[in-house]
Amino acid sequence: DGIDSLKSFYQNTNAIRAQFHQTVVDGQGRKLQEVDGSMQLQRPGKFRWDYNKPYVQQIVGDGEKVWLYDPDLNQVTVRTISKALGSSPAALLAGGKDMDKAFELKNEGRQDNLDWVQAIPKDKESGFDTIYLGFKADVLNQMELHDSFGHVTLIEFNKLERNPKLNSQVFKFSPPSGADLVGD
Amino acid sequence: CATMQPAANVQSSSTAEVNQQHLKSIASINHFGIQGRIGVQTDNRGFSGSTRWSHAPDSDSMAIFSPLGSQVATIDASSDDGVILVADGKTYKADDTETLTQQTLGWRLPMQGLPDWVLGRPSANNLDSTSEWDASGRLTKLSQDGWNIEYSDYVAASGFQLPRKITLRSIDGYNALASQKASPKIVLKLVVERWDVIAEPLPIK
Repeated sequence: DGIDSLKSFYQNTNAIRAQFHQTVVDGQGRKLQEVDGSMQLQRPGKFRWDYNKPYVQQIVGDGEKVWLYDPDLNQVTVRTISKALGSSPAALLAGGKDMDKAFELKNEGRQDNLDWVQAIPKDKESGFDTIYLGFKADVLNQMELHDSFGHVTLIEFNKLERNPKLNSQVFKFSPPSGADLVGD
Repeated sequence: CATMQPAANVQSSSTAEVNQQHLKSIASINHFGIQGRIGVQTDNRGFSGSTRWSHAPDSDSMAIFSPLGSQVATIDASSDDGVILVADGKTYKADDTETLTQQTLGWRLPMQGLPDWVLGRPSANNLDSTSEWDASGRLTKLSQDGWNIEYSDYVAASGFQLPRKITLRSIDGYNALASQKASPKIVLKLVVERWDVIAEPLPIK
């Protein structure tokens, strides 16, 4: 079931690389935003989400801080990982064994041949009311993030590689020169 | 629509007439929609994400999204029933957007002047302003009502020349109401990805 898939996913996946397609839909099902990108993750706590098209944005967790770079705005927003990661979707994926401290997990059964689990962030700061993870044969396939306005961010992973060899530079972020650096 | 007022002590690479012509060309815009990216910088916190904003002559409705696409806040301001802000599942009300956003989001949104500023024109409520403009008369710098505004890029949208990149910096120590203590320093950045503009024909006076 969903929780077993999540647990086994944690046990035998300590790194991921995948493409993703993200769609944000409002309460009436209207599409608000669509973006394509690629993500990489190294347990514990290191992750990188590169949004490529139609806009560019990078979210990098280096294990200590989370860096968010928006080239259009020429702004880097940085937060210490404990505050930012807490119960964010990235934490759910990059998290280690202390998952049940940050999330309440519930089985959601099988739907469109995925095993689903619901993860409810215990800390409301994450911006999401609830997160659903869909697994296909214990491999993460989809993620749904539901916010308090009834919007859903659906992230569909494809070309997911489990335990690829990731070079550690990937999770190092150095603010581009001239970019405004903001945050703690 | 915005009345044309002569901008004081102006130095520019084009004559005032070119600027007046440009301002006239956008004077008839009083409804617009914006989809874009918004960045906030204050002394100790930063935010960047995206926004969808629709403006009508007497009402504004703005949604702000986090980098992951989740909605952070909605702001609905209208001249007759004040401002309603929804965030984290709670609803807040006040008379003006600037104080309400400062209290609830920790940074202030100058909704009073912003609809004009974002179009690249001084706000009409006859506050004095100083401005500079480029060779085709488009505003490059404007300071008004406690804000220094920079226009670093323009784009053609439905036949109008409209700003694409805008940076608003609060002027230190300036407070509009004498009673207010000086509001904290803040930088707001807006990058417009999509303009939807409705311009009614100018009333013939």
